[in-house]
Amino acid sequence: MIISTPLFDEELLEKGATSGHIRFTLKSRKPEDIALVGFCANVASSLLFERMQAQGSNIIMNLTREGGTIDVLARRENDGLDLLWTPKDPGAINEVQERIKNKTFMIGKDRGAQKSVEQQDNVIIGQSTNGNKIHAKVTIEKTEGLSEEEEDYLVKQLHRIP
Amino acid sequence: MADDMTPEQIAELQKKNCIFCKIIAGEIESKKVFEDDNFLAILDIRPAAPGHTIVMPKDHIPLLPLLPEEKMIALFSITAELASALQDAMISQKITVFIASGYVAGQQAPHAMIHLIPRDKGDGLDALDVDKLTIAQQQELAPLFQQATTQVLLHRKRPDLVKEETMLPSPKPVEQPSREEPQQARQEPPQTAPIETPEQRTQTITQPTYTPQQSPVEEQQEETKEFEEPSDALQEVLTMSPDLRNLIIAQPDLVSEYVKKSPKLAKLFEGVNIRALSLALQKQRSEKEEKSGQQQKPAAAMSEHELFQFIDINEGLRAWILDHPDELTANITQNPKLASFFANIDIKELSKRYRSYRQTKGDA
Repeated sequence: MIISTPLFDEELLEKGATSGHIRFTLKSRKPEDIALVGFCANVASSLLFERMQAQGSNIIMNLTREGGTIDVLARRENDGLDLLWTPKDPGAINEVQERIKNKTFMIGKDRGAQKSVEQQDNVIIGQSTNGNKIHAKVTIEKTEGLSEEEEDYLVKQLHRIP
Repeated sequence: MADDMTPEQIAELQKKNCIFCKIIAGEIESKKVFEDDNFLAILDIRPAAPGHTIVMPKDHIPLLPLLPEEKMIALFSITAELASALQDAMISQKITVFIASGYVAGQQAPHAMIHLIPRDKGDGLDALDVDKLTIAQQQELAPLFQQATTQVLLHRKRPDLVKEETMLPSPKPVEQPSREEPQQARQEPPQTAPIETPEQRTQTITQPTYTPQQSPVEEQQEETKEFEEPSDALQEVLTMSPDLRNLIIAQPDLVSEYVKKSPKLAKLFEGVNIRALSLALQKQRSEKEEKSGQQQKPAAAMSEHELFQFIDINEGLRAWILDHPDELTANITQNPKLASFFANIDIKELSKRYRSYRQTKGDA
């Protein structure tokens, strides 16, 4: 183990895929946390490049809903690792594009923001000339996001529509 | 004609011919799935799996590690969000994010990019799971990575993620390599945990920007000796191009790689030790900053409160002052940067006052 933090563990594995293999195990799926660990992984890759006379490097993240791993690999010619894929037929690319765009349009914005309305009685809103406090019914608007479960449920429902 | 081109002109030409820059500029049609001011995500037309998306910076950056820090953080954040979106859209088990830096790693275009590949069982992409682990690793490198990650977390203002023992390495003096074996000293991996020297600590004090390419002090001293003045042509290029200077300072090894690959650059950098040039340029920059008064205000010019707050946020310095004031005093005499910062300051007295300040705060 190299370092263990509340957000991630970093390990220099006993045995790796190449000579120079660092693995980060994510404990959070928040974008800002992944960004920080990704940046650490990038620094580790620069260090592998510098210290292990690597000719290149790969950073490979395998992200699930719960967390994931980030592997940083030092690469050299003929190191026996073949990570490249055989291209497949793009198929219904327009349909795929629409499906993805429907999910990405909120990136960088307030995701899932929606307003809920709450009413509160007897809120003091002022004072009359004779010194009596004036009470009123007040409407408070709250901004809330959809929970993961709610989002998932809606996604599932949408995909059931033929 | 290409022989007469400067590195900037070559870079400009590469950018002009970059197919991804043309996609970003809208000159070539693409299937956009996300776009903001700095980044563009499109569908890969030769996908590893349906929904295979690539996200790239809009600036022409040939390798991902060359992306400026804040943009890199933003790119990783967007990548994480895109991964979630992609997983939802494609109803996939997981997303593999693939980054290749360098030809041998599988980088096929001279424009930095990140691949996001929706994954499912039996998709034939098992190699991307990186689970065939057969090659023994050099465990003695672990402290080096620990130090780097710790520094990154502190630099990103996340000391909450770092345990106290990793924040405060013992400030033992660094052993100088034997003069007879400088090459060996440079090539062998460290046998013990790399120790932050007072000089490096001063750099932390005066230059808060984390530089992963920073070499150990012994390496710097050895390589400075090999430095020879660059040719007039190179001097001219360096004067005209602050970007190139910054690149040489930040990524000397990468520049060396470029120089190896390009005959034109090889000619320009002929006989130049790029690491030594990097250190010389770094020194030049520090001197310039010193002259223009941009450097850290000396301790004597700060109020006591200001100085204590400064020590509070500099973990390395705090360790020296609290635990090793005598060693710090000894090191000040050998280090001009430390001497200039602590001019007219009694370290023992400072240590005493700072201890009492910490006790008052209740966290000593």
